[in-house]
Amino acid sequence: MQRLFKINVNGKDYDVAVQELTEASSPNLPKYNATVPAASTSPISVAVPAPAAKAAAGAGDQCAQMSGVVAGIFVKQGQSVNEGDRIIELEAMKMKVPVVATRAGSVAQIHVAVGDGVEKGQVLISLA
Amino acid sequence: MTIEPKLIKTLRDKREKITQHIKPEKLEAMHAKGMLSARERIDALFQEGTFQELGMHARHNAVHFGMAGRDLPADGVITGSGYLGSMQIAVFCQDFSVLAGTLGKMQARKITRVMRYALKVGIPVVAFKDSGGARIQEGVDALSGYGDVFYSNVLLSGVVPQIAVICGPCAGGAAYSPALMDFVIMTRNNSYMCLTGPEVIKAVTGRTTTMAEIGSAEMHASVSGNAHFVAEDDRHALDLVKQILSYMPSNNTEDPPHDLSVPIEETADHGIEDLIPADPSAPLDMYAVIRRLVDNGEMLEVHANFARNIIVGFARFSGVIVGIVANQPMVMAGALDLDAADKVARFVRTCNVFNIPLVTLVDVPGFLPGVEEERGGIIRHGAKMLFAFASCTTPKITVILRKAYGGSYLAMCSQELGADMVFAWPTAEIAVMGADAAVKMLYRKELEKAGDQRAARAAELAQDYRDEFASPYEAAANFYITDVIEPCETRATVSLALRKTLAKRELRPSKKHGNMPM
Repeated sequence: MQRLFKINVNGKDYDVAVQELTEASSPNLPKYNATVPAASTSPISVAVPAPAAKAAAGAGDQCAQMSGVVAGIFVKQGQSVNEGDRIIELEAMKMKVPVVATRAGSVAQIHVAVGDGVEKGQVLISLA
Repeated sequence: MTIEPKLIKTLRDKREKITQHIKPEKLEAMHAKGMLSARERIDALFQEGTFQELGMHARHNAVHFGMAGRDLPADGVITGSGYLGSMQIAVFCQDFSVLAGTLGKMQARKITRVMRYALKVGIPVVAFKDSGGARIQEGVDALSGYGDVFYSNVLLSGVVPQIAVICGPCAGGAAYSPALMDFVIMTRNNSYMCLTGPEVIKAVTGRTTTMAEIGSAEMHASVSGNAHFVAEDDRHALDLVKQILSYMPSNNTEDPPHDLSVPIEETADHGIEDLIPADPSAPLDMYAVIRRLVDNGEMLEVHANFARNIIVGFARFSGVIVGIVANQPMVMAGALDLDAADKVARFVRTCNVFNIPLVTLVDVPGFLPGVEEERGGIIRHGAKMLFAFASCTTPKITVILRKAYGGSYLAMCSQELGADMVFAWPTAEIAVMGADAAVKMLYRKELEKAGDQRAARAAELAQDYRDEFASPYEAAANFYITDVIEPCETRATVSLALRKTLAKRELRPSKKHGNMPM
């Protein structure tokens, strides 16, 4: 059924016809409920989400360049490293993949342990 | 009869006004930032006295927005040609000190004119980009001018080498001209390239960003891949231009400047053996290998910071100029991914159009598995690599150092993709897939029956598989490779193979062009 309204916006009058839709009157009506995402959010699920760990990476964070398993950790907390030092070794594609320090600093935190699976972009070690 | 002195004076005055328009203090400020003036760039590129300018006196016809009668020296771009050694080079250099180097119809006409000249005489084009963009005062004429420049870029593509040096701003439509050329050099601190700046991005998308994030030399050289080289300043950029051109022919009908007077040394280089790790899973540093193989250890690396899991660049093998394509196992295990495939495809096609032979050094564990890769279109991107190698008709020499597995083995210029000679080191593992994965598929039933002995049996079978198949000899027995060589023989073997294949002429069916995946 349709109802007529007069709406005043900033001093201007608008005549608005409003039709109430029910399932009976419009069988093709999309059902908006908790299980169906709103249309505007659906394209986002198509894009590959950036790994959360990558987004959080700070300047001193040393990240995995590819997915793999941590095969070796060559530094200890508090140890100072130079740029280019091999700090971690990953195993990926049956190869040992060195992770080298992108800058000099001291090891503030080691976020992973040997045997951990890591994602591309995940923070492995934070340098201070 | 003598010429009337007034006529000479008029000419000299005009010339001086056009060439000496920058105030000394302005010039000093530019030098302090590592920038040269447009004329200084040209002087630094060419041998003295060889530059001839085209259209010094050309001027714009704009009348709107206060443009009527405005004097713009050379209309903001210096065009002409000169000699670098024995090579003539066409140049156009935008002059930021003239109305911010903005491009209008006359500037575009000057640029396209010098490009057509380069096309006619068959010489490289070097473009210095330093411009605020379209000359808005000229409206749609400016826009049309860009279109003319793009069209010329495409016309020249594959005929003469085109090098863009970005010395200042290069934004909006202007950014497409360099992108249509063969090489893009950006100066580290003074240049940027983007289609829309941070203000527009903020206004349209609401996202706050910086020019460093979207347009800096560093970003384009490492993330987007738009820039092939980063130069510290203008002089370094000129040096890079000279280095690139030292590997290039003047045009596509000539060979690059090989020096065939260099003898091929047959001495074995046992030092190279120390570079091969004993453990097959430990990565080999491909840079160290390349340095030992090429003349004087010198390579001009292209795209050095982009897709570092693969190395491409120009070098010489006993005087023969080559393009090198090599996996770098130190980065991402040397696996091929989206960017690596694009980088190789572009480089191989550059080599092909300028008749530069290819040397491919293989140590590749495979294409990188992953959700991002598949969804990013690794099939489509990887196909570019296959297409580029297979359609390249220059001499192609491939050396398999260690791993060469599955599709990535084919993609690294295998015999099937047209390699003229394929050599393998005794350390080569050429197989359809890794031993563990192969055993799982081949012996599925047997392994199921093995029960708690499964792991031990699988390891045993994998070792057998490795001994039998993960060597160069199965491929050699089936004649998929030319020969197995000692690593110490590599430099001499490749040098000789290159000399022998230099005269190669390979004819393909005539067609407009193949339909390379994009």
